[in-house]
Amino acid sequence: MNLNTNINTNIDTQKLKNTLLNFLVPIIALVLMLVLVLTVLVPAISGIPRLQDQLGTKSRLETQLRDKLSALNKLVDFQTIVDADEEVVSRILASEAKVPELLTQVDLIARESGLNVDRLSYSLGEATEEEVALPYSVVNVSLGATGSYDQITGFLANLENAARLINVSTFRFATESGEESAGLFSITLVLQSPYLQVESNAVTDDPINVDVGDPDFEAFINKLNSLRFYDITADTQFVELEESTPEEIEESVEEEQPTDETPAQ
Amino acid sequence: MADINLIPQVEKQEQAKERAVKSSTIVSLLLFLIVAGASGYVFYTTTSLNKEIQDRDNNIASLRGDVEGMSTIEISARNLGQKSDTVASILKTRPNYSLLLTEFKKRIPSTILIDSFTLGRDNTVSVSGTGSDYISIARFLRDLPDPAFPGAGQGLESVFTEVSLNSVNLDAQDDNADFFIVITFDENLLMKAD
Repeated sequence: MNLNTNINTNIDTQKLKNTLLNFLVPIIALVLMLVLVLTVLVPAISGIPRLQDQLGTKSRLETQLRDKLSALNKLVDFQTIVDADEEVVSRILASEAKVPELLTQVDLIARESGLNVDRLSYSLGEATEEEVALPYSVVNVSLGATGSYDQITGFLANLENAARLINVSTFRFATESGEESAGLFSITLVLQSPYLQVESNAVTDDPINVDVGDPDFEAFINKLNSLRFYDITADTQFVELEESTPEEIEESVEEEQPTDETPAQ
Repeated sequence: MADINLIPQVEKQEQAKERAVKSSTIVSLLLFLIVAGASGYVFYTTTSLNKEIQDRDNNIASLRGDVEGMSTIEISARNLGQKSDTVASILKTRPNYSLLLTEFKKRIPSTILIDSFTLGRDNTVSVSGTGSDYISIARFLRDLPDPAFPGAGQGLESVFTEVSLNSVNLDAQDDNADFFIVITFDENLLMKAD
């Protein structure tokens, strides 16, 4: 019985060996396939999209840097224009409050418009909530003057055309009493002049959005150049300066509000 | 007459085994070739991508060096850009009240005298004045918001959107009527778009 079992086992092993030998090539091919799939195909299939993304990102950055370099080269070629444009823009939006120059400009505009300036004061006080939200700082100027309706209109138009930006925050005018003052109004204005200190840094990978050769930008600069520049120098006669608090400026307008207003029915 | 198969059973099995070995060898070799081809392709693709990325990195490093060498002009350009954007934004969004006064004056009848004009909050103006009679005040109230008012400035036809008469009193001494009105205006029409 034991002898029979041994014989059977020997026969089976031999059979298996023969079968393996017969299928040696397919078995090797399958093993190699498995190795290729595990070591090359699977990692590559998951890695190629990542590499393509990486290449896309780097290509975009390269294009962006090329564009930026081209823009910078153009700016170098037009350095004088850049400097001139920067000077124009800096005169329109001052870097500092420059209060004496501002008040002198307001005084000049008022007088040129025919107004008789009674009072001119400024404040650099703490910014209100509205002012904090602005991307720039402001100098508040309060102006009290006398003039006709047309002179007031002309004064506002001249302010709007003045190179250093001056915005009208609020204003009020009322008739002057007395026969000598017929047709004249007493006007109180609160003006705001913005200023902005800019300190940019060179950020290598970020693009530059200024193109001095762009027709729209040129048109914008031409428009700025068409504004009236008031050259305030040391020889210019300065107005007498008077600093007020922001509350005083607000009050100066409110004080003159009519008191006999009847609420809407 | 029936066919007589004289091939022994053992020989038949041997032939079947040979066919099985042959076909499995061909199939496995074919599959191997396909997998090997695909592996070669993806290997080539990966290598190419890596090489391209390396080239891009070299270019980027070189470009960054060039850009950094021009930092002075870049700072000037950024300053110019930031300031010009701010100026453009201010000019575009500030109301030009000279237009408001010009348009207002056009619509004042000769029988109306303005005593006071106050710019209020929320795009309103409070105006007090005197009219020679109630009719002149009524005409004034009609003309102010009238988009078809003859002689209205271009683009300012509808600048006054609403007028409310808050009070009107007849002065018995001089027969004039004193009034107080609140005018609402469209601020957007006072902004210069260009």
